[in-house]
Amino acid sequence: MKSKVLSCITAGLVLAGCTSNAPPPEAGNTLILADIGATRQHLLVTNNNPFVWRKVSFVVNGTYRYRMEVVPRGSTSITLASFVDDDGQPFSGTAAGLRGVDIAVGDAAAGRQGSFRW
Amino acid sequence: MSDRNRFPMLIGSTVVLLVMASSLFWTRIPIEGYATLKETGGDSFQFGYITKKSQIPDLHEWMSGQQGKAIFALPDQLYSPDPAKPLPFVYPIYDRTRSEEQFNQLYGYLPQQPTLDLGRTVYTVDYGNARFLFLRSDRLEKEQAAWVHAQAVTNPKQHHIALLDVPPSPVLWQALREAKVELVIAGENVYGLEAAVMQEPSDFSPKDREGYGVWNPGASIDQSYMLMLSYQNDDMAVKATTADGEALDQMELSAGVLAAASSKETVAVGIQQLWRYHRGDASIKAIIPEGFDVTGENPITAPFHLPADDWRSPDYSDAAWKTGRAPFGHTNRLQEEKRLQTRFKPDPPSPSYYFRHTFFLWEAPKEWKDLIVKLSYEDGLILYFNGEEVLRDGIRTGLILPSSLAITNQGTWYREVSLRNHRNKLHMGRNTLAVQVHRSHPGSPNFLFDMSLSYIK
Repeated sequence: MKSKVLSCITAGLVLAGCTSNAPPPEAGNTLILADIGATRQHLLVTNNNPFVWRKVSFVVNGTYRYRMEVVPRGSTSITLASFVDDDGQPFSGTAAGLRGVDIAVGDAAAGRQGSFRW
Repeated sequence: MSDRNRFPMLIGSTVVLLVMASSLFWTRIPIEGYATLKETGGDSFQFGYITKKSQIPDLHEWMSGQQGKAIFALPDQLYSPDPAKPLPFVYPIYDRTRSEEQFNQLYGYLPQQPTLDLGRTVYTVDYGNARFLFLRSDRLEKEQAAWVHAQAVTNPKQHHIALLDVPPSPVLWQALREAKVELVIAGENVYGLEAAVMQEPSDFSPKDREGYGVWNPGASIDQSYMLMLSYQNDDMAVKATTADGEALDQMELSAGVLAAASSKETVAVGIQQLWRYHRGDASIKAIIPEGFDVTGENPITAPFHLPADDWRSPDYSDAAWKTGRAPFGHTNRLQEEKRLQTRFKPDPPSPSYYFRHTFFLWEAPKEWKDLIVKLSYEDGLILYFNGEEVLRDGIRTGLILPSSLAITNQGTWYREVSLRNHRNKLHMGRNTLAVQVHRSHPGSPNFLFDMSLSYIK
């Protein structure tokens, strides 16, 4: 029990302090500015760009996906259970089980694509 | 070497601990319940009025013992002051028991009104946030009426109370009514301005004088009594009590209600009303109107039409939504929790709730001088009148989804906001309020919503 609590706290601290470690965007792509955070049940994504993201695909741990047509500026919360794998199985872990978050924006500024990796 | 010399630190610490522990026995520490923050503040007063039925054997001595606790008024005929030991916190009402000269001489500590040629028989006393007007009914009624008007209307005091020996003449009544003097004590009768009366005493006759109802405590109370006036901010209570302070009957008045009534503020949607509500999720449909800047940098300027399946639309069917009474929410603040009428479970999957309320207006809003909403919310909200956004606070501009988070805010209870510039978004007949309230964090322990809508003609 104690180790789970410690894991949650550690994961929270790590996630709260993390921003992009992605390389600079490829030529023609738009730089996506994001913050990632998590609670026990939610993934918190903050769009720090001055534009909304459209046609957005989130991938958690390289397996579990979630799509949003629009992600407004500011913070959005998504329940972790909303992320599903190719078989339709929801992500059953908690924030402690988060190892990576990929954001692919199909339509960032002026129709260009963009991506973000945590 | 003795133990006392070998372990001085240990012995000293033990003694200190024992002294500290012993305080548990000789102090009265709370052993159950929880601390609550009692709302205090504002001015308050205690004011006693001695009646003919007070029957206090030695009034002068009794009142001497009350010094510092309250001030007192009484008909002059009930009082025999000791000129050598005047009680400057006792204010007599002139009742012709003595001549004007005798009265002036006996009560030299009373203020004199230079604008009235009535010596010390007509005067004012300011006490706390109240102004007491001591009047007389036998002379210069028109001059007193003008004086009352000047004293009450131009004076910012929250409460105005008039005292006379008998009910005043119609001219003076009119002045008291126009000056909105809340309470008139005339002999044994207590007149309350009906617009301000919140709680009637058991023997209250409404409309005894135009605008005033009368209470004669002596008619229904057999034992000896006096009147004690007290107030806390807007609210004033007049209690018939025994000399020991036991309450026998009471009347309550509110200057706040009076102010609202005098400003002709009409409530169209009250607080604690029934609302339709739904948790923010994918079933909540909201279009992005053409010309709406999703980044929030530019306001929408062109009118737009919402389809009937947009939750903000007046035509939207919210029949499938739940119904509940405001205030809605959940909180970890114990003193606020009991104010909630509909309690939500904390830690829901969505950070937002959506609310709708339909009401009717029987007057054209363009005639109104002001449109006022009083909002309770935590953390951020957006308010729509008939589908058009009129207010946004605690949440960023631009597109907002059910999953969007607000900015962290301190919860607010019934914050008043004027929306006079949005009167044109309401109309005579059926209107719809739509509100979305968002938390600043999905795990936030506090969530709150309630609102009222009123207008001034």
